[in-house]
Amino acid sequence: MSCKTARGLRACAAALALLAVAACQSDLRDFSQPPESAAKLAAIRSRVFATDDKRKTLRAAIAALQQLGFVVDRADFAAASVSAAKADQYLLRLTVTVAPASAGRLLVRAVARYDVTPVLDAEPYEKFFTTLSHILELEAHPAE
Amino acid sequence: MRKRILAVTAGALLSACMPGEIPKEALKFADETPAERRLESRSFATEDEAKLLGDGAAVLKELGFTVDTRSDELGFVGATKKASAYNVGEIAVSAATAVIAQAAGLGLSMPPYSKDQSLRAALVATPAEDGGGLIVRITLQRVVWDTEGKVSRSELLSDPAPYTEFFAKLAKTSGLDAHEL
Repeated sequence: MSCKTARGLRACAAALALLAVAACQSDLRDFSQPPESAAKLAAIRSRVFATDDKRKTLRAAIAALQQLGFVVDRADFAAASVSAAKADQYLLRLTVTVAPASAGRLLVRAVARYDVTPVLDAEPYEKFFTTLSHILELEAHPAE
Repeated sequence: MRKRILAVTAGALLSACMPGEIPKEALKFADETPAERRLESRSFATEDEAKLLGDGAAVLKELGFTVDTRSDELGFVGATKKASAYNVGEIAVSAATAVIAQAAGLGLSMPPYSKDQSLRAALVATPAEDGGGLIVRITLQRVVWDTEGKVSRSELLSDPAPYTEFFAKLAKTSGLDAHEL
């Protein structure tokens, strides 16, 4: 093998190693358009409902999750939180928390993750809140 | 020849290490069908939700589940049952693939195959909408992990048999009839 060929192969190997390392450093990513700011992401993930009934709201969240094909595996009234994995996509998890917003109103926050990757796409959150709103028979208002 | 080896190696490295997208179908939340709801639900003529939940938890234990979490306030019981997922046919295919790959000089190791599985049960009790009795719904999910520790399958059980068995046992334990919706 000529010296030139050997140099070429070494250069190729180095480039390959660099590419491989660069590729391996990236985790699973949500390639949907990320929101412009943290405030916008919070808005996508939150809604306010005109009720102060935490129990009813959490039960409605459980019903909504079931209706959308999730299997609930955590429900904690004291922590005001329920969590579920999608039946046919085990790595997709939706966690819903409820907190007082103001007098007679509750803030419902949903956070979806695929494995460890946060879901930034607005569509699944919109679908969840629409279903929750329907079950609660209350309008879902944007969080302020 | 060496360039070809380099090219093949590069392709394998890159395809193995490139980040994947979140599967689009994972973010599509389809509404349940009435058939799914009927399969997973029964109504019981009682107002005693805590007792019915307790009976449900007892039936799950009888069926080999471990109750992981229970919330009487939210009418919920979560349970799991772990088992082996080894399948002789799948292992044979995996071994054969490895042998062929070795013979072809590709030097690949044995492809992963199913190893462990978990059956997950979510039991939820809610007051019936017409104000009489309770609706009990149980959802059964099967999750399989391969020999590399990755989830290789996740599915909702659609076979009516385990649902029928659960509700028959719940009816017996609670002393109440389980009515189909």
